[in-house]
Parts: sequence; structure tokens; C-alpha cells
Amino acid sequence: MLIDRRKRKNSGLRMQTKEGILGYLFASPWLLGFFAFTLFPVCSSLYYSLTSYNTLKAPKWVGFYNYIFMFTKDPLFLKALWNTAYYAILSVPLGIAASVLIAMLLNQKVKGMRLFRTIFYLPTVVSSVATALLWMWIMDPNFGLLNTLLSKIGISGPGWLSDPAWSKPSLIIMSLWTVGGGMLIYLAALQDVPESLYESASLDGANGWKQFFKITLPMISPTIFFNLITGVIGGFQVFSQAFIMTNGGPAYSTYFYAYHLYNKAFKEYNMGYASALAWILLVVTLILSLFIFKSSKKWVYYEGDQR
Amino acid sequence: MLKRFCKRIIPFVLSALMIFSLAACSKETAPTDDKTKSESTGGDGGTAPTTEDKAPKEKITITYWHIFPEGDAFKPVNDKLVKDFNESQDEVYVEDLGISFFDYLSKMDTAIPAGTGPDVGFNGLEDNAFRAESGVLVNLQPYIEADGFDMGQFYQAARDYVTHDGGVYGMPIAWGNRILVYNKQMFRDAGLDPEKPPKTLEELEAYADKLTKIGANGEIEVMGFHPALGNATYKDYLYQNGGSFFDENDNPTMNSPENLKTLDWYVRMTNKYGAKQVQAFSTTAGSTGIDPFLAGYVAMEVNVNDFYKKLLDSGIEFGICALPLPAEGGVRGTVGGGFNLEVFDHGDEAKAQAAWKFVSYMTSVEAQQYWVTQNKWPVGNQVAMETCEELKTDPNWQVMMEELAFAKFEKFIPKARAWWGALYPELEAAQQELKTPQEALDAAQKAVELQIEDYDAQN
Repeated sequence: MLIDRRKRKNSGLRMQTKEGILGYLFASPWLLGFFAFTLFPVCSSLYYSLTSYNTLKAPKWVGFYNYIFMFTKDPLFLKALWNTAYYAILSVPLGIAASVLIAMLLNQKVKGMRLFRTIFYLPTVVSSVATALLWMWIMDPNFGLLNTLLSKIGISGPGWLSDPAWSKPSLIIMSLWTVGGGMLIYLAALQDVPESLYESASLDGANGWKQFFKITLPMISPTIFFNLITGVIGGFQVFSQAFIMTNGGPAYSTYFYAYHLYNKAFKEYNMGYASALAWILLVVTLILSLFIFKSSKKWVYYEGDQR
Repeated sequence: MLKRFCKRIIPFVLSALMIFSLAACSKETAPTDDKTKSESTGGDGGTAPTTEDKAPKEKITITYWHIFPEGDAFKPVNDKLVKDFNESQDEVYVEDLGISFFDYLSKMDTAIPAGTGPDVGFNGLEDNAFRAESGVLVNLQPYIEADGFDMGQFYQAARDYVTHDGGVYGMPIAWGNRILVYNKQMFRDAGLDPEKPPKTLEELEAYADKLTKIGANGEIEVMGFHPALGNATYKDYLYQNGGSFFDENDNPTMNSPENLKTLDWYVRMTNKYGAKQVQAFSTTAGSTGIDPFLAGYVAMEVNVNDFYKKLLDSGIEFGICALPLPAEGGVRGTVGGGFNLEVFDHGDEAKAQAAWKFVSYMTSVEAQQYWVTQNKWPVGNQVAMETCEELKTDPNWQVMMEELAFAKFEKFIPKARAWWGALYPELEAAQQELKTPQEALDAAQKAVELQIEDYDAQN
């Protein structure tokens, strides 16, 4: 009887099912963490975005009020979105161009190349706070490195971070300092480009420029695509520079979206509105990512793709 | 056989382990026993660790969070007071935790809503009203009455910050308002009498012109006076001009004539020696991380009175005086601000009683005198200040105490909590000459009105 039941039970659970359960069990530490620390907060932020919540009193349901306020009344919403778009639209392509350029240079067969690669990657390792403080010194209008060098060639430099017209470009220039991360990925991609393609191209008489545009660029376009997507997402979340260096100023010129969100949440304790801002940011980045994905069919070349 | 056994047993063991570890997690958050209590207390390395017999079981243990972590200059005094309190009686035991100021705010912000906050917190006077209104604080009025504690011994403005609808929601501990500090050597070098600091805004401006040094390329080397360097903002000058941010009915008055007059002056004083030059100058002065007065960038600056300790340590020959007033219609006194001890409501009457015992000890004349003489940081207890022998013999303290009596209280406006956040960037825009003062203040008025509209719509 006992043996019988056991047998039935055994046959009831198929090998595949059992392995499946075992698999989930092994993944459960991550799954638990994901549910508790990612999915739950994400869902609750959606709920909070429909409430008025100052952290001390219980949340009060206000429906879509926060979203309506954002689009119809909040003057800083559009300002912050514009500042962020300005930053992302300029810094991401510039960052890609710079990192491809550096990767090309570092792909030469020169002695001591490993050392150069390390040097160019090093700034990426430095924490963003330290970087920000360093650049505050570099961009100091009076004794900063940048203006001192400019004055040597007879240019009187601007006030950089203290000048509303220059503050955003300053932060974009600064963002180029950490292109090392992207560079590393491009370097790997460049080394994957088959040497034979260049050989045959040069036999056909293609010069360096032609080779770059007709061979190198298409071959690394999947990598560019990857960096573009992550760059845009990261660019729209720009925060620490504004937080540490400029406090969103002068005169709201570096008041980025994430900084607006931070202000609403932790300065004004308006958690409901801040959550709504977070969801709209998600929608904005989602739309942009989708747009880039759609356009990628036109410019990203995958080897072995049938087109 | 073994294979099958393993297959069946491993998942079981795994799931059992998980359940156990979860249970262990929840266990750890349960109230701690006496052993951990005595471990985390005190913190002044000099004395031997307190042993368990100092915290017998019948004692009520309360937690106290403050902003003086290891290495903080004010920590020894705070530690000593907590230790003295613990030794002075055997009913209450205070377990303290020092958290650096910036982490403190975020820790409080998350701990209070989660109900895991301390029994006593060292919190800002200015936002006491927010917590009181939200119902997280204990009203101390019944304890004050029961003990016959005289609230009249506190400075009026400090008391106003913690009194709401007849209830008292905190005990002012350390606070201050603003003073003008000036460099006597620079005064002498400019041919000014170092014993005659400016009394009016007109004098201030004339002195500033004499004290300012411009370099060969037109860059500013020393600025006589910059209204926003140091620890001062527009609001400190506004009250002196008889202006205010809100009227009696809590309606914003950001662009009233007094406010406009103040901002006109503020912008003119800022940009006297060229807007671009001043921009560069203040960035440089700020980037060293040292106070511009201590670094020798400015000859006069407005700062808070707990700056006194740094001045004494600096070796600069300095003078202290009241903020200069407009020659006509000036109103004396700057905004007071600082900290108070708040008792958090955890629904435990015995703990609240114990916490009251502690906060009333900390704000008593004796403890407050120890605080002010050691920390050189003014306290909320006016009697403690005025009867302190050490302060009586120090002319600088006399100047500061006179000013403290005139300190202003800034009313908390629940409907527009973030009004300063809306105003400040507009002031900056005016200083940068991107907007005229009128445009800037009109924009600020609109922004604050919007905050109120938003609040009304949500509540």
C-alpha cells in the first residue's frame, strides 16, 4: 500500500517538473530579493504615484492628480525634462564618438599600449563624487586648470559652472572624462573585426577613411547600438553632478529631471508626486529606447544577417 | 537509490534552510537584551566600558539619536551630558547614537515612518512644526506642568518654534542667529577704525568699498562685503528692512515693496564690482572648502554665532557686531534657528515619561551652561546664557547675547513648505542678472501661490 502510493507519486511528478522545481529553489535567493527589493518597491511606487504622501501621515488617494499637475501646472517639469534631454542628446553621441576614437587609437600595435589602455580606463574607476569635486577645481574660473590653460593661448575662459550659459556644456565636457567604460567595449569589438576585410579593402585601393566608414563602423555598429541604449537611459538619469556641483543651478540651468524628483521626494517630502515623476521618466526612456530599437534596423549590421 | 534520495532530500533541506534563515532574520529585529544595550552606549573612549550592572533590568532604556558621530568636535560635550544624566539617577538609561548630519536626516526620514525611530531626536527647530503637525511627537505640555518646568527660561523665538496650539513639542537645545564678523587687520590696512564696525547699511557699503582689493587684471582679490558669502541669505536682510515672506493670514508676500527694496540692495551689493568678476570670485572662495572670511577672501561677513569657535581657533584678529541696519526704518534682529530635543510618540507612556526626564535634564540651566561654555554654541535657555559667569566677561558673547534676544521666529507654513526652495533660484537669477529683482520676485510669488494651490487640491 505504502509502496504503491509512493510509486504513484513518483510517476505523478515527471522528471522535468522536478528539475524545474529544483531550479526555482536554487534561484530562490535571487527571486526573493527581486520580489522584495525590486518588484514590490516598483509596484508600490505606482500606487504612491496616485496618492498624496508626505511619509509621516498615511498616503491619501488623489487619483491622477499628480500626473495632471505635472503636465498642466508644474513649471519645473518641462524645464527639468528639457535640461535632461539637452544633456543626454549632446553627451551621449559625443561620448560615443570620443570612446570610438580613443578605442581606435588604442587598437594600434604600439609598444606600451597596455599602459595607455589602463590610463584611459582609470577615470571610470573613480567614484562620481570624487570626479565631481575634481572637476569643480578644474573648472574654477580664477585658478582652475582649464581657464589657466585657456589664458595661456589668450582666451579668457567663461565662468563654467557658475555661468548659466556654460553650466550644461561644462557638465557634458566633464561626462567625456569617463568614456573609458565605453572605450573598453569598443576595443573588444574592434579586435573582433577580421583583419582579412581590411586586407582585401586595401588591395582594392580603399583608403583609411573609406575603410573606417565601410568596414569598421558597420562591424562595430551592434556595440554602438548597445552603448547608445545604455547611454540614453543613463543620460536621462543624470543626477550626481547636479547634486554635488551645482545644486541644479545657477538659475535652474542644471536642474535635471532626477534632481527635480529628488527635490520633490526628499526636500519637499512629496513622495506621491516624486513617484509619478519616476513613472513618467520610465515612459520617456521607454519611448526613446523603442525608437532607437526601431531605427536600429536601418543602421545596425549583424554579421550573418540575411537582408 | 542514492540518486533518488538526493533528489528528494536536497529540495527539502534547501527549503527548510530558507525558512530557518527567514525566521532568524525576523528574530534579530526583536527587542535587544541588556547585553547589546550597554555595548552601544556612551562612546567616549576615555572611560571604561559601562557594565551591565549600570543598566539593571528595572531601568527604562530610551534611545537618543543625535548628529555628533565619532570625531565630531561637539561629541565630547554631548557624551558627557548623556553620561552625567545616566549616572545622576537610576530610573532611566539613555542609549545614544551619533549619526553624521547628512545621514541623520535620511535615517530619520525613513525611521520615523517605519516606526523604528528613537525615543529622543536632536532635530531642527525650523521643521519641528511639520513633525508636530503630523502627530509623531509627544506633546510635552503635561510633563512640563507636572514638573513645574519653567518654559519662560527659553528665548521667546526658540520657544515659538516648538509651541503649536498650546502644546509644546520639543525643547530648544542649541540655536543661534546671525552676527557680522570683521577682520580688524584689514580694517587698519584700509584706514578704518577697527573698534568702529559699521552700524548702518550705508556705512557697510562705504566700508566695503574701502576694503575691497581689485587685482591688476580686474579680478577681485578681497571683497569688502558679499551679502551671500559666509552664512547668510537674503532673508537675513529682509527682516531688517521690515519685510516678510507671508502675511498674518499665511498668504505669500514675496514681491512686496519691502522685499523688492531688499533684493535691489542685495543684488547691487553682490555685483558692485562686476557681476562676472563676483561670479568667478565667489566660486573660487567657495571651492577651497574653507570659510571665505577665515580664508581671507572677505573682510566682513555675516555668519551664525556658533562660528565663534572657529574664529577663536583661526588666529585672525576679528571683531563681532550686530548686523548693520538701514538708516531709516530698520528692524533689529535676524532669524533664529537651531535644534531641539523631540520626544517621539511610540505609544509607550513609560518611555515618554523617561524621555521627558532626559530632555528636561539636557535643557536645564546647568547642562546648557556646560554646553555653551564648552561648545561656544549658544543654547536655547536664556537664563543659562545670562547667568553664566564665563559669558559675562567676554565682550563678544555680550554682543551675541544681545542679538539673540532680538532673534526672529519664522512661522512654519504647512501649505507652502517648500517656499524657500521656490524663492532661492529666483534670487540666484536676480544675482546673476538674468532677471530683474521685480521679475524674480514676481516669479517666486507665482511659484509659492502654485504650491498653496497644489496643497489645497491634495488636502
